[in-house]
Amino acid sequence: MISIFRQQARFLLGIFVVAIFATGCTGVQTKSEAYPRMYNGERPLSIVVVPAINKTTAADAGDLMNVTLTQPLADNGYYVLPIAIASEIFKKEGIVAGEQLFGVPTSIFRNGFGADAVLFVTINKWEKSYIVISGSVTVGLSYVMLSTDSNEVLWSYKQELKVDTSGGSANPLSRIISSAISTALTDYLPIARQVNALAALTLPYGSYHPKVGQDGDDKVVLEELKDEALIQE
Amino acid sequence: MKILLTTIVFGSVIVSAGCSNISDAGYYWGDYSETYLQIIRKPSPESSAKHIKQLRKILAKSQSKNLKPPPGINAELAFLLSETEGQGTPEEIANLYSTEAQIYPESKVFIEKLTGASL
Repeated sequence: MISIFRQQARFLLGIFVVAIFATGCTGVQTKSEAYPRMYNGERPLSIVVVPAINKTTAADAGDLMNVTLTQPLADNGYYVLPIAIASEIFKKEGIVAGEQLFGVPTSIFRNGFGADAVLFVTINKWEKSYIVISGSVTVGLSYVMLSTDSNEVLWSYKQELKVDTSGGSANPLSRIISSAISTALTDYLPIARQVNALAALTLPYGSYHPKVGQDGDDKVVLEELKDEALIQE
Repeated sequence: MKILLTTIVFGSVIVSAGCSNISDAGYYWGDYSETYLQIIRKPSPESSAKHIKQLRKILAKSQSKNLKPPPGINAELAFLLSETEGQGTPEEIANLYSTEAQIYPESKVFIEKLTGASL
């Protein structure tokens, strides 16, 4: 039912996008258009990352989020409360999945962690596919950052990435073998890193970044992906 | 074959950190994700010791390159030392926590709650 609605919505959105294209607008927003709160005095400094919401069967995908999220956020100029410590605290409180925190007032993250913002990451897709002589890995993530002051969305984005993991060789047999091997050897770590890095391109710079406040006119946010991140399927 | 594979791997790296090991915000991260992941996947005194060594390396390199240590590294090292038997003294652990709060004052509330100490 929901998916039919979503399909219709997508179809309508498609028509919309065509209409927008026709009128010259591309559905791409600047960072300050997409995330005005980040430029109007609500820019957070400290972020707490809660355990991932995992909608896939890849049980250890959340671990990969834990180990790769600090760097892109910090490199964008934010203070990230140590995920290694925070995740232990959540575990002791019985919280192992982000959805357990739905509906909880975000002020608990200010009082408990001193955090200005809380980041929810949803793992939508974590798929490995083999097609006889080639292989690929698709990872899809949604990011939603909420203010612990106003409860409002500060940043959201949906990012997907498909990485070809097939090796190249003229010998068909060796191609089959190398495909299997290289997919097995291709750890998800670099892929998780790439998805995070791509999504972080839309994140307004934080106070520790040398270009803080100067990126408001960067036209890099696909409006559709910003909005889709907010839909819990 | 190896060259091709390398090309594919490199080609897929759309966002690359470039040649330098230092990020835009001026941090050195070493192999942080790799050794942290090992602790999660195979928790053992060895994997903890390895990550502790990596965190120490990140702090030492940051200092020698005159960089600010990345957010959270001092606190994470302190936490890991306190959780791992035979690693770190109480003084070292307390020092690491207070260094984190000094360099990043926004961590003070968290660290005070965590340690019960007032900084």
